[in-house]
Order: sequence, then C-alpha cells, then structure tokens
Amino acid sequence: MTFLVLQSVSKRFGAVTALDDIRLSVPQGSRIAILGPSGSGKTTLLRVVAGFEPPDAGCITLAGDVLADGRAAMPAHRRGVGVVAQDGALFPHLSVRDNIGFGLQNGDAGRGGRVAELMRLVELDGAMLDRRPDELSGGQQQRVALARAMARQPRLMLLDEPFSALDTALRASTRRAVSNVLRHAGITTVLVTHDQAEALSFADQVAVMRDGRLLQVGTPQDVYFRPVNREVAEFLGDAIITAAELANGTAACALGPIPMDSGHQVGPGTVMLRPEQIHLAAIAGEPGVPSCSRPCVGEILEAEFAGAVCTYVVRMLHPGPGPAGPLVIRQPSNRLLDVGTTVRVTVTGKAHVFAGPD
Amino acid sequence: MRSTPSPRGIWTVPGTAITVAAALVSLFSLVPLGFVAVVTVQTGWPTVAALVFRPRVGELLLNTVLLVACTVPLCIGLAVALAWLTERSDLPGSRLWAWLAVAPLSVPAFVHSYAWTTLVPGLHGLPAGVLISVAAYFAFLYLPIAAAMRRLDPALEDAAASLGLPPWRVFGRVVLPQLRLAICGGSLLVGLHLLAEYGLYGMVRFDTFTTAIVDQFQSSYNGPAANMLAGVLVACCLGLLALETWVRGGARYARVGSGAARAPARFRLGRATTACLLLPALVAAVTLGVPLVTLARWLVRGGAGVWRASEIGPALGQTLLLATAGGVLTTLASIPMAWLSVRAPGRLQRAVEAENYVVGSLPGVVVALALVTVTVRVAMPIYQTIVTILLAYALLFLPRAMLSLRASIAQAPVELEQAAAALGRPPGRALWATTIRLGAPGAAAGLALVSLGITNELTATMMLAPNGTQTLATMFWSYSAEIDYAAAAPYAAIMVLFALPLTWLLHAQSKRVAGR
Repeated sequence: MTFLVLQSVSKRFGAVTALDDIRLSVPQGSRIAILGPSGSGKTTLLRVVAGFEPPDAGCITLAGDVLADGRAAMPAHRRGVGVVAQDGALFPHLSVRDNIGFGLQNGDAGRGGRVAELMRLVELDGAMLDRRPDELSGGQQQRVALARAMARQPRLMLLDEPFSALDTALRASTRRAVSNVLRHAGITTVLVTHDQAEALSFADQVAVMRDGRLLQVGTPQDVYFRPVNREVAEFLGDAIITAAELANGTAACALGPIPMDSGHQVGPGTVMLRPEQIHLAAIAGEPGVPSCSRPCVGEILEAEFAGAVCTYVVRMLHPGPGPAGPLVIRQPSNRLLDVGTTVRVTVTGKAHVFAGPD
Repeated sequence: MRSTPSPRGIWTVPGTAITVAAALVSLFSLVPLGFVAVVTVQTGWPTVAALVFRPRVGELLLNTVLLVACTVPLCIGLAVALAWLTERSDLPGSRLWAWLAVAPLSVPAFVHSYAWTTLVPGLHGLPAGVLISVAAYFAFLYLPIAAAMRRLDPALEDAAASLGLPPWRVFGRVVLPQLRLAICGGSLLVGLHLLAEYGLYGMVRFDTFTTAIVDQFQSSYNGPAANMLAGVLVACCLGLLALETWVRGGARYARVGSGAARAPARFRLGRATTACLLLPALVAAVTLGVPLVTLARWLVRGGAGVWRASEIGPALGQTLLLATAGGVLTTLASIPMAWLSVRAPGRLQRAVEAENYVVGSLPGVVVALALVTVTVRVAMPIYQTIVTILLAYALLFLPRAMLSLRASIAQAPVELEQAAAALGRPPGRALWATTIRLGAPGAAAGLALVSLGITNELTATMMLAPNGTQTLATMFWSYSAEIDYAAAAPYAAIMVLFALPLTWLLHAQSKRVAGR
C-alpha cells in the first residue's frame, strides 16, 4: 500500500532547479534512501516533504492527507513528520531530557516514563538525561535526536544525512542502531545520503538523484546490478564498462563472451560488470599452451596495494569489438599479482546491458 | 655562527615584565573601590548609618530602582522586536532600519535630553527619564540581540516545527532562550549607564544617586554625605552585576554539531508589512528624529552668531587633546592585560579580569570622587591637573580598550611569534613584528572607542579637570544650564559628527562578529 506519494513535485531557487518533476511512491513501513551527490537536490526534497519549504508545483500526500498541493502547503508543525538533521540540531539550551520531551505535552503525567522508554529504545544510559547536548559525543547526539523525533510517534521519519558527521566506526554502529529502532517501530522512513554503501544497506528502495531529477528508483540489488545508465552505475560503486557485440543472449567484449542479463538485444551495445564478478589468476606457470594465444588473457600494467583490496590496471591481449582501453579492476589482496604478470580474466554471473546508447 | 637563544624559551623576560605591568595597572584600578571601603571605615558606623538610613537616600533608591525597572524591560521588548524585524523578516529596507537602530548611539545621552526638554518643555521626572533613557540606550540591547539572531541555527527552528510547535511557540521556546545571553549582557550595560548618567537626568530634573552626588559635590566638595551616597551607588552597581550573573546562570549555548548553518529563511510579513514598518519608523523618529531635528532647529535659529570661533576653537582643541592623550594612555595600559589574557591565561589573569570588569562598571562620579580624595590626601601635586583627569579616563574606559585589543591579539596565533623567533628575530622584535603588528587594528579601534567616550564624558570632566578647562561636553552643558539652547547647539552638533563614523564602525564590527 503506498503511503507517501509525490506527484510531479518541482522547486526552483532563482535560476537553480532543485527539484524537477519528482514522482515517487513509498509503501507503508518501508525504507527508502534518496542517494545523490551534494547539490543534487536531495535535501531540498526532504525539506519539502517535512514542510520547511513549499514546493513550486506538484502534490504530496501522506496516507491520503494532502501535505502540499502547489504552493498551498500544510505547515510543518501539523504534519506529524519526524526529522533527524545532519548534526542532530539538538536545542543547546535544554538538557537531554528536555530535548527528548520537547514535543510532548508539558503537563503530561506519562512524560517522564515516555522519555525513559525512548532512552532505552535508542540504547542510551539514563544517567545522561541531565546532560547538555554539548557534553555528548556525536553518536549520542544523533541517538537523542532520533529519540526526540520518535517521541511524538510520527507517521513518517525523515533522516537528513544523520550519520555523515560521525567517524567511520561510529557511523556503522549508529546506522545499525537507528535502523533497528525504526524497523521495530514500523515507521516509514526516508533517508537522504550521498554515501552509496549507506543507502544500499539501509533501504528497501533506493532512489538515485542527480541535478534535481530521479534517475532510477528500485531495490538496492536493482540499482546496483542493473543501473539504467553509466552515471548511475558509477555513482553506486566501481564498474567495468565496456563496448560489446550483442547476439543470442551473449555479449562479446574484451573479457570474452559473457552471458547477458537481457536476451533480446542485438548489435553493438555497452555492458557493465561489477569488480566482484571478475577474478584474475596468474597463468604464466601453466605448461603446454602458449599463454598469449588464449582469449581472456591480459597483462598487469600497474598494481596498487591498499590493504584489503588491490587495484590493478589490466591490458587485454585480445581486445574484443569496439575500443577498449586498459581496465581498472579491484581484487581482494589475498593473492598479490606483480606488474608484468600475465593473468586469465574469469567472469562469473551475467553482464548488464544498458538499455540506451550508453 | 649565530648564538643560541636561552633554553628558558622566548617568554621569560617579556613575560615577567608584562605580568608586573598588568599587576600594577590592576592595582591602580582598585583605587575607586578602595576609596569607598576606606572612607566608609574612617567615617565610622554611627555617621554612616545616619547618612545612609535617611528618607533622602530611600527616595533616591526608589527613583533608581523604578528607572531601571521601567527602562530595561522596555528596551528589551523594543530591541527584540526590532532585531526580529530587521534580521528575520522580509521588512523592506531592513539594512537601513538596522543602521538607524544603532545610529542613536552617536548622540550623547545629555543631547537626547536637551532635545526632548526643548521640544516638550514640561517634560520632567520619571516618565521623562524613562522615555529619554530608552531612546538613548536601547541600541546597547539591539546590537547584541541582532547579532545573536543572525547567528541562530535555523535547523533548530525547523526541528521545533517538526516536533509540532506553531511558529509563535517556536519563538518562545527556541529563539528567545537562545537570546538570553545577549539580553542579559545588553541589559547589564543599559542598567550601568542608567546608574552612571548625570547629564540626562540633571536636565529633566529627575534625581538619581549620580545627580545627587554631583550636586553634593558642587555644594560641599567631598563631604562625607557625597562619599556615602557613592558607597550606596557602588552597592547598586555590584547588585546589578550579581543579578546579571545570577540570571545568566551557567548557560552555555555552544552550537552543537559542525558545518556551516543554513542561512535562515526570512519570515514573510505579507499584509502586515505596513503595520510592521510603523515600529522602526516610530523608533527612528523618537531616537534619531527628535535630537537631529531639534538640533537643526536651534542651529537655524541661532544662525551664524552661535559659531563663536573664539570659544569653539579652544574647546575643540582641548577635547581633541584630552581624547587623544586619554585614548593613548588607556590603550597602552590595556596592552599588558590583553596580552596576558590571550597568551598566558591563568588564575591571576582571571582574577585581574574579574576585578577589571567590576571596576569598569563603576560610574564616572565615583571614580572622580575617589581621585579627588586621593589626590588631595596623598598626591597634592597632581590635584586638579591634566594628569588626574587622564587617570580617571583610563579607569573609566580600560575595559573598552581591552575588549578590542584582546579580540585582535587572539587572532594572531602564538605560532606566528614562534615562527618569527625561529627565523632569527630576538623575542622583543618577534613580538613587535607579529602580534603587535596584527593587533594594531584592534588597538586602533579600541583607541577610537575610548576617545569617543572621552569626547562625550561630562561628569568626571566637570569634577576633575583643571580650572579653565572647557571641552565640547562641558561647554554644551554650561550653555544648556543657562538655557541658552542655541549657543549650546554647535557643541552638540560637533560631538554627533565625531561619533557618527565610530558608531558605523561598531555596527560593522557586530556584523563581522556574526560572520556576515
């Protein structure tokens, strides 16, 4: 059942188009990540849904209630939408207790209990209740901000890059904690981020945004393995993109013939592989066959060791159809290959064919 | 081969010298407080009780309390409303209104009073005192509140709205609490001015401790009655300081989180725009229109005849001399303490600074009374000389000079001094080439502020200056006392002209502090 619906939402700031005809529907209880580089308009999208800015055009509904229809917008305080901002936006003049209880009625007898319950929910120690926000670590601040936003049992939760200000180790653990809390509460959530790993791991649906437009909306697996174009492919992670000759469900390219994921296309096209589909193995020592005469063989031109992974630049010795420069391939560094080694390139899985001309 | 510097580091010699200098300056600045204490003890309890517990003191106390209790809340309300309109709404011409709200500071308080009494001759007593005080001093609250509003992180207001608060409650629960520090600081400043001002209240015949002390002094010199009134006045000032510290509490409003704040959205006034324009227009008319129009009217009425070069020339010359000499002395005296507070903060430095803060809050009349007594008793040669009056200026305006200087020294990182030393400069020259050079703009701004203060100073100048000294302020004062308002007008006009550029500087500085 769709819950949050955006229909043709647009917003301009002067000459800049921040949102261009955004259409999106989010099912109830699901989590969607809006993924885009900075300046792509993703934060504007979130602010429009929160009610901090009115859209110029378009309609936003939440569970059938109209939040905004063109410039007529329901004010933020009546939407029942929770927001966790990038740096938490905790009130510096209030204690943790008063921050969490901010949205609750003052005279409410159950206020203290509710605050304590929220503290447990976000796994914070009750001893922190009387501290000031500036006495908390970044991760703790974000948990308080989440508890504060959840206090009013919002219908929808908006997270505006809430983990980006945290350092790497804290980011993962805070993300897991926030994710669990929201999952158990069954709150529909929109996460805005520029971190592809964060988007892929957090959400049921990922919407890739660029220059105010949504390029692709789909499951994390969809957008990662079957991106609509080169831009989306490269934004979501390392990609090996090469020209290929398509026929009979097979893409013939520099890496040899590879089964493709859509069978009907014929003729020249562009295919994409993820680095984890590719395996390099040294073949210099194999007896019998002269190595250079075999297909799918390449030579390592450069190698860069970076701990867990190693990046190789590989030149294919028998390039396939179309122009193919050296390929950049990242591999786990359990078996290091030296520069100059001849390697066999093996591909597992299918090659993804871009629908359009690239 | 170059000789190696001593291993004790480059601070040893200048550091000690600076500490000693700072200690001497702060010892000297204890003179007024020490005077009050010594005089109280010497007078003896029965006389003190007889002089303090009498109806006249009660009357003055009531007047003073009423004045503060009426003026400060009015100023706060007006300043918050105007700051919100100019900083957070789409009021047309908000930059102009912001400048017009600060500009009344360039009109000395007693010139405000002069304008109102000549415009509405019947004006007197508490209502007159409150009205003119609001006009003269509300900018002291507007400046910090507007700066604080510019610094507010709009994400907090968004967060409050998403938590279900309508806009007016967001203002009450999120915006106002964050203005608390600015409101407290500004209120203290206004309160201290109310306690210290003489000319403003003298002209509208409203008695405060300060006017009573000056009257006593003029009739009986430094009699015990004046001294005891000064003691009560000092107690009032200390009371205000304590009250402010208590209200401010331990609040720290550090912005949590990192990154630049989004520029706040301006509230759309819509159809209320016209009504909202009335407030700044009315304020500008009261605070700026009345003094300037009245002044212009007197100048026109007086014609060319009131510009008596034989009187204005010497007054201008003496004012400039006193302002420059006093400004230089005060700035020099502030260097050691400013340097210490940035480079070597510690317990001694904090104590010195707290003391300096208290001394800086003392009214000119107390400082003058103290210096009269001390010079008469122990330093007769400098009694009624230019030295005494310059010392009084230094005591009165030391905090102003220190604030400017400290801010700019803080912007010259110690690493620069060390880099200069590493490049082969001896300690003294390293200090000169880096910190002093970088601190120069701050010192210049401080000097300008002190000179402005001296130009408009009336009370201490009247009580301490050598016989025959006439400054712009004292000339203005004696002509107004003779009700020759036309002859007084040129002096007021010159003082306003001097103050205008400095007020502009103050306005620009407060914007720069806020990062805009």
